[in-house]
Amino acid sequence: MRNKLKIARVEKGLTQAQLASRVGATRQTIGLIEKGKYNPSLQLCINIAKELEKTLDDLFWEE
Amino acid sequence: MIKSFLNFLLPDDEYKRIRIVYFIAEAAVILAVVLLLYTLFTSWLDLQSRNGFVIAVFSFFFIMMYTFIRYIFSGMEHTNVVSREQFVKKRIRILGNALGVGLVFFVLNLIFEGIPSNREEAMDIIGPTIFFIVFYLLFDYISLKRSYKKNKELLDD
Repeated sequence: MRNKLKIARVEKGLTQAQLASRVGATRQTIGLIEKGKYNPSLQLCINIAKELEKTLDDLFWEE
Repeated sequence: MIKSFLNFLLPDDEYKRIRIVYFIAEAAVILAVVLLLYTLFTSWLDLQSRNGFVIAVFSFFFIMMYTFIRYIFSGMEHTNVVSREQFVKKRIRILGNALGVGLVFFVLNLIFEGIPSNREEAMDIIGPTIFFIVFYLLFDYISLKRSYKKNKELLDD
């Protein structure tokens, strides 16, 4: 999950701080999600997915 | 967001919000256990220690201090400090803040205590002010240091 999020963010050309400000979180929170140290709420997942133009499956589904 | 009167005390970021709610809850549970033990011991041993004022003050400060100290050590206060330059800048700002708040503390002390007429009275105002500034600075610095360390670990590779 963490790598998918980071890859999607980098593909979109956003820094952690930019993504954080767009989804109403802090840069630290985005870093924690990417490192797998924090499980975000569904609402934050949706906000991130919308911002990165991905589905929840693309970003958060573990195979 | 869950509806609660606590919301006005909590930050917007959900990670911070959840952690702070946990700190408050931990403080409340520890306090409940301490108060229960206190009640049991005073009734079993038939002690007459029922100073309600002391218990109320202790309870209030315990919850405040526990939450505050856990927050300071969690390293989530300064979420955007990731580089050495930002750290140094923030450190200078913290020093300025501590001195500013210390000055307010000093003035308030002067208002409540009055202008000191001798050295002893002056020390009664200056002493607590220095103490206040040192502790303010210490806690803020620990928070900054912990935040910086945590942020570096979470930085883009």
